[in-house]
Amino acid sequence: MSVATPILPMREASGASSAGLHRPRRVTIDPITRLEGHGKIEIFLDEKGNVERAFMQVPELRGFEVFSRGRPAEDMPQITSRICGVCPTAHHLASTKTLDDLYQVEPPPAARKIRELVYNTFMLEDHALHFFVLGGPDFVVGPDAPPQQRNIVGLIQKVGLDAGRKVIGMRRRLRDLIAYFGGKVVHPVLGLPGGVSKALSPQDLPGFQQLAQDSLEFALWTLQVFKQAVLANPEYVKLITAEAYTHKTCYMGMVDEQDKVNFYDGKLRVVDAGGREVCRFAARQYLDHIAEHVEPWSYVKFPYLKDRGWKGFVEGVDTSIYSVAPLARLNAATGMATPPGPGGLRGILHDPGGETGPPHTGQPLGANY
Amino acid sequence: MNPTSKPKVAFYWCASCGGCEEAVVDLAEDILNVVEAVEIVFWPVAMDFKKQDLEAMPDRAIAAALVNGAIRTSEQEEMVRLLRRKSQCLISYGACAQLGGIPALANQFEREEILRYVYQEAPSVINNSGTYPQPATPHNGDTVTLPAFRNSVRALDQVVEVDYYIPGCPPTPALTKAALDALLAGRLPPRGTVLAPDVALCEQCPRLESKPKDLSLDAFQRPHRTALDPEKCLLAQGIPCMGPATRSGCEALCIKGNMACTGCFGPTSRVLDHGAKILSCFASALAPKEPQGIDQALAGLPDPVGTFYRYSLARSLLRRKRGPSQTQHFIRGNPP
Amino acid sequence: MRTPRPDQVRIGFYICHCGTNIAGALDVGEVVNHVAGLPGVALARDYKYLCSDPGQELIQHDIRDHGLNRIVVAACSPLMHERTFRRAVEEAGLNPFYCHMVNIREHDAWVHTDRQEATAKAKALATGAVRRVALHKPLETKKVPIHGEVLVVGGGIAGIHAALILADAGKRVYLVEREPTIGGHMARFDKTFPTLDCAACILTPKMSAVGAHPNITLWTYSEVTQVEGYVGNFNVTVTRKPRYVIEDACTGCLQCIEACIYHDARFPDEFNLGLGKRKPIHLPFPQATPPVVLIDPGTCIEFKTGKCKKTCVEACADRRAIDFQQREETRQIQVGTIIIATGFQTFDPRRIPYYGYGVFPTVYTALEVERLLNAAGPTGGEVILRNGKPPQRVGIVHCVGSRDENTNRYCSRVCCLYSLKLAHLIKEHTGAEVYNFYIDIRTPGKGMEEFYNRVAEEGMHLVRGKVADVYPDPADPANGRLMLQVEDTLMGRILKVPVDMLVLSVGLEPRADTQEVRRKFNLCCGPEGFFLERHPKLAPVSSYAEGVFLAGCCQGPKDIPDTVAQAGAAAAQALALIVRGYTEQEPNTAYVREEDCSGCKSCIPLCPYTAISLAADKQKAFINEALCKGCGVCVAACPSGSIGQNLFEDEQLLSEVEGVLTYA
Repeated sequence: MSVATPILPMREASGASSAGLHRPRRVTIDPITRLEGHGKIEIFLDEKGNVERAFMQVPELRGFEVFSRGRPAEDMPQITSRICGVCPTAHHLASTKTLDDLYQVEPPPAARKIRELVYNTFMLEDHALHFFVLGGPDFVVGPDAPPQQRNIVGLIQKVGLDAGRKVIGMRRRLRDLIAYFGGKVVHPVLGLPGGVSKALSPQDLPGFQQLAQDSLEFALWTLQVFKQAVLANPEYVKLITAEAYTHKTCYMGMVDEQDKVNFYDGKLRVVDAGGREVCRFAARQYLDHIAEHVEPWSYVKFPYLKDRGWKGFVEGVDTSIYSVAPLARLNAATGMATPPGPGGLRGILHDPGGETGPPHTGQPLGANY
Repeated sequence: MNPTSKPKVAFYWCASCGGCEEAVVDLAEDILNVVEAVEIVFWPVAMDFKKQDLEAMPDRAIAAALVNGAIRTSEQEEMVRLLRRKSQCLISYGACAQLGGIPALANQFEREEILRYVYQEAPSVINNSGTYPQPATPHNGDTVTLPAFRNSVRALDQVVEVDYYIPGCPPTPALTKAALDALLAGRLPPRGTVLAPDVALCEQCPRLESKPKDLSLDAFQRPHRTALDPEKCLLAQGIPCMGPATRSGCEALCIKGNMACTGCFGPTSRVLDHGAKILSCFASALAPKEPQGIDQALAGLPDPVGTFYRYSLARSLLRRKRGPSQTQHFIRGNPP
Repeated sequence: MRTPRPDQVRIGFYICHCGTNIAGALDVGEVVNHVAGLPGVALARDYKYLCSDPGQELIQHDIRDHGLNRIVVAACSPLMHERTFRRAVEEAGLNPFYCHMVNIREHDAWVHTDRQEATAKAKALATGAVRRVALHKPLETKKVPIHGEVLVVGGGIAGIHAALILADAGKRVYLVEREPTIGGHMARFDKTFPTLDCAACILTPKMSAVGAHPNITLWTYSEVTQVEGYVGNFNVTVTRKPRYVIEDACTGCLQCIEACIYHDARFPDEFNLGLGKRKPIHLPFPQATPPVVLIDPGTCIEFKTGKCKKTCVEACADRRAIDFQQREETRQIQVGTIIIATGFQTFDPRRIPYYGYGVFPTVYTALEVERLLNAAGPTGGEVILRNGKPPQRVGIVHCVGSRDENTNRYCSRVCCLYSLKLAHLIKEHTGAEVYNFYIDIRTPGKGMEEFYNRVAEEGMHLVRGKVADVYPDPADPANGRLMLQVEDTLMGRILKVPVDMLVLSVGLEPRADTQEVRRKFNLCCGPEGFFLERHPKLAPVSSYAEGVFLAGCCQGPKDIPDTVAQAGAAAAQALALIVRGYTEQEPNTAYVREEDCSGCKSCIPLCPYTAISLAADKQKAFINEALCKGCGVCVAACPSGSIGQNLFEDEQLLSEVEGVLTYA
């Protein structure tokens, strides 16, 4: 759940009132809510009330780049996971894989499978978190609902207590699996160079197999909820496919040899807004392809495609800005590596993409689905 | 906002990772009861209330504010002072608020050094213009502002008075629930209490039995260079485990993950300086008694600060690296 | 923890002039003025000699007249007068532990030259003490009974003498000796200086008295392997090595030695430092005590092949004293006090290669020469070289391994005099020319200077200078004659002295296993490695372990009269404790706060007094208060801060530190 790309338009926030006779020249959204990370948005409007310039600011710096120096390499998976406690597993395993690379060791097959199991489980529960707790209330409860209802509590009221329990229960089971291997679910400890700290005991396997089955059903049910709550509502579809909410950048995601999505391992592939491949590289080559830009109005730095050079906050096929996360991941790949489940995993937001081509559009409203 | 008789609760984060928010969400089914019993009036990660909503409330309107994260910026200072004013009870939630946490490892470096590296020297940065984040950036006659980046990372109680502490990185759902229950029932211990058992982790550790009575440390191992016995005390295997010096209440989760305790629950109430205490313990238990042997054994601990003060550097008697304008504080003093 | 409110605490502060010791070095009045203004201080005074009776009475009157309930005395080291002031305070009706001393003499007045700085330091220390004493709690000293039995470790002259005194006083003594016989180094000497009386003649009666004494249990060929407990209550484990001869059955008839399958003695004889020979079954020397033979399994055919005819067993006949199956045995004893008399070892001259010891066969240590001179020695008292000839020119080098930056810096105290003794005896036995090479001749003690004069007048060559080189005499290499190169520092010239015997007057050193013994008995060692006495002047035979006393050369080099005197003193001290029947336990002990203890066991192996155990039922650490000496190791090491220590509570220490730093 990284901080979204700092380019307008962002989700309109309710705390800022823009109604009234006297249109303010400036709209401040502080803090940005229902998102991991600290953020503040300053929007400046022109005479007509249109957005003239907006700033998505991150008002803090912790300095991991600095205080990670001097630490033993094997401590990094546990330290970098503190970059984000909502997606600690991602940081933890990225660091762990870096250690493999550092020590030039391949984890044995069982260890690799455990890592993949943990990571894919994390992907599922994390997306469920986003859908039901962070982003989903916008749709399920509604963008115009009062702010005190537009949250998980309101969502449960809307979808019913049983459904709420179902979501909570499933997330708990998934997170228990991560804790089984990782000790803790927030900031797991399983990653070591070339392996994991803990093995799977055979008597626990059937429980996890059952969980996998239940998870698939849960995913399909979630899709149903989404279809009913969002796609079945023409207003929403109009909103999320509107030009104002379309965001054309490059897209980065991890792909396997066949350019299919892979969460755990593979090459990083970047495509432009037109779907053309810009580059493809192994994680260890990141310095050849990615650079960071500094602005005076935010403590966060702005990664961009190094070869293209920093071109400012501009959209289009030539931009050096790239998006990551679910939508970008789909855009950067030619499809999923596993067969779609009943009901189909494709075409949720963008039917025209079909089975072979990527959607090639960027709707931040859907970026995390 | 609808008036309600339910006690009002706020959650806020400072220099943190969001893991503490997840820990609250990890109450899972129990969160429904919490939501039933209280009115959440501020919680950026999950709810859309803004700072101005908070400012609009009367002082002490909030029954309890749970604040996680360390304090590094002027904005964080303002927010926790605001929450302090609006709350009857301010609870430090998690390791960063209690001890400084992982972000406090930055206290080994000077402010300027941090900024220079992050915005100029890091290998991924291209910054030919020498741009640094500024407190104020002009924009068409307006100003876009950023909070100030302070000299050091502080724990919450080094900025405002704190009523209770819930420890952990992150706290467990069980401790969180027990604390909320106690709060709701008005069964709270004396102010300043850490709401977790005041005894070290070894007591809860499933491997306690396997710890020998005559443990002496002749060498320290690193976890990836030794095959760890999943049943045996990690210290007895030479892994520097913070368990003996760390408050229990975490359910020994890392140990169950077959890794050593890194100390996120902080010290017991009786210990002034977490890192110094475990250092004192290990130093006493070191088998070699001659300088050369001691050096050899200590070679297995390449990063004493990161090992012994992983979470507690802000709360340590050791202060941040001394800058030219810093005053030195020895005991119990607040840092600048 | 109870913290008295400041208005309840009424502190009296007293600073002692100690004549000019303190008042001469710092401004006593300024300290008084400063402390008088501190919170909780009801009264502050200075006085010329607080330890005097009027000084103590002043404090006692103030306690009554001003309702003081805490006393701080800034004076000398608490080692000197803490008891004095605690007792004074107690007599005035206060708990003695409400009194605290600040050492502004040794720690301040004596070590600073700047009056202002010394005054500032005294103020800082006093401020710390005032802060700390406010948090003191009333404590009680406890009485612990003392067992009457005494363990004496080491059967040299010191151990023998101490054991006899105690046994004669009716106390049960366990005398444990590592070697097969008691007697120690003294048994190897020929004559003793300065009287030149025969060592054996004065020692062996005492040896046999030990062997025969009903109150002495003598265990030779034995070692103390474990010591647990505390003053009055030591549990000691003694391991008895097998000598393969049953002690009670052996009559010392020596027929077995006669009968041994080896007709001739052919193995190097330990007692004679390898200069003589013995058989596998042997008695170390004729007056060995106990007079029990032993078998060396390293050379005995039965042990090596199992095929010996065992003529020794035949000779032993009905006595059946020989037992090839004998095993190591352990004995457990309980004693109240311990006397350590483990002695010394002589310096190994191989560490100074240019003397050629071990290279040239004509180089001897002084102890070897003692054996050559002795009528019971390997040569029957004839001083003859390894080539069978008597020496005609003998060099004696003093201070070998002593007073030297490269070896031992200290003076071994006895070498000058034994060198003169050997010079005299060699000359007497052989008529040889004897050269003494010395740095200084040191002859303190009764009759020593007279002895020196006597020997000097016998025509001894006394050369002041260190021998710088030893090499075969190029003029006469075949006969093993050596050339000594030495600078005569009185004459200011280089001498080359040919000798055909070189005697090295080796110094005295701590035994190689001193550290092991130190740990076993919780002793301390001084920088030179000998066991450290509690006070060099006022407690010279007490160790730092309560109830453990030191006698003889294990505490430092000394001659026989001093050793015997010290052994007597150690015996008297042990006896004093036994007669009193109890010891007072300082209450500065550590204690585990049971509800706080996690049972992590970190403290258990660290306790030097084995006072900590794990209460198995509770899985919590437990400190035996009687064993605890208040060293604080466990307090510092307890990783969860669950061990506290009386008089050294965290609060007290931190307040003291804060007080010192507040002022500083």
